[in-house]
Amino acid sequence: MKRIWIGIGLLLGLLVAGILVAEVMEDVHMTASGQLEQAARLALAEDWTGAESLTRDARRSWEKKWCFTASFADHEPMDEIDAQFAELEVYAADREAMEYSAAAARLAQLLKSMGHSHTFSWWNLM
Amino acid sequence: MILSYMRAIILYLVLIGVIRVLGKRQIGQMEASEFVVTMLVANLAAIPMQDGGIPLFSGLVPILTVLGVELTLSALALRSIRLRRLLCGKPVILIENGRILQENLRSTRVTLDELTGHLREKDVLDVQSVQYAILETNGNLSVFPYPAQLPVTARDAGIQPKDRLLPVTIIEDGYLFRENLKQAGKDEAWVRQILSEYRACVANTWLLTVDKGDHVCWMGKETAK
Repeated sequence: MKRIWIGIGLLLGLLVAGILVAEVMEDVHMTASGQLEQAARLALAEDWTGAESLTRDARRSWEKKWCFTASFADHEPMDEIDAQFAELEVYAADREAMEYSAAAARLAQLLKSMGHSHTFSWWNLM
Repeated sequence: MILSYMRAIILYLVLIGVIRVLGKRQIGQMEASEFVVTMLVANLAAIPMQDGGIPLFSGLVPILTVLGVELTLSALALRSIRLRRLLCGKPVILIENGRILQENLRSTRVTLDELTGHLREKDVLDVQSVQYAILETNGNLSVFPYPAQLPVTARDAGIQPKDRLLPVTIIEDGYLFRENLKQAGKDEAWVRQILSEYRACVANTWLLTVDKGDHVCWMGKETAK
């Protein structure tokens, strides 16, 4: 009798933990992604102060949950995201609007994909 | 490298824990579901052990999930014959009264060579000397020769042998098991008396057992060469 409750408890616990992790991951990545998309638009409009501020906020959101993300996501895309944040800073410092917007859009999409990859969907399951 | 080292230790300990929780059957004869679990768990542990870029939870979560499913299903199978049949199948008679049941052999996809090979492993050369041969759900073949083919037992010879008495381990590798001492109805004074007969002490005793008939078995430790 004890074994069945251990089994069911384990399955339910893992299910709840999985749902929570997916929600946190989606929240973190979507927030940062949204900020970067906005930053890309601001850069094209030559509002570098706004763009840089949003980029810093996006990076802060990402770094705040970095350890949590590293516990549940593959590290290779995470390294890629860190590298792209560094790249963005260079483009922002040089005031290169087109390169900055393209890089920000690319990074936003990467963050979005990463967030989506942890949600329950049929294509993720397959 | 230190990461691979730590991951290997963690996953090894988790695997040992999982196998212990699943029970002794995992190590001995396995049903199909138990075999699947063992293979899965081993492979799941290997992936994060080898690849440091994959989070540890990528291995731990599936392992724990498989453990949860196996615990739940095995507990339910104890209560439900239908579920047990679904998960484990049922035993199939392959030989009955010296005759091979060819239809059953075909349905279990056991070849004649495999059947005779299994019989030879059980020291049976003549199929017609077998009263029953049953293919169990774990893939083992149980063989029951005709009674006339079996070795003579004490009962057949009208002999009443002495009952077997289970020995209790009192000392093992220099360690005194006090709870076993109590179980055997003995005390430490008795241990000292027995050891003095062998001119030994607890530390240099490899094995000391006693049964209900007070038969003592003592073995001393061998010195390393």
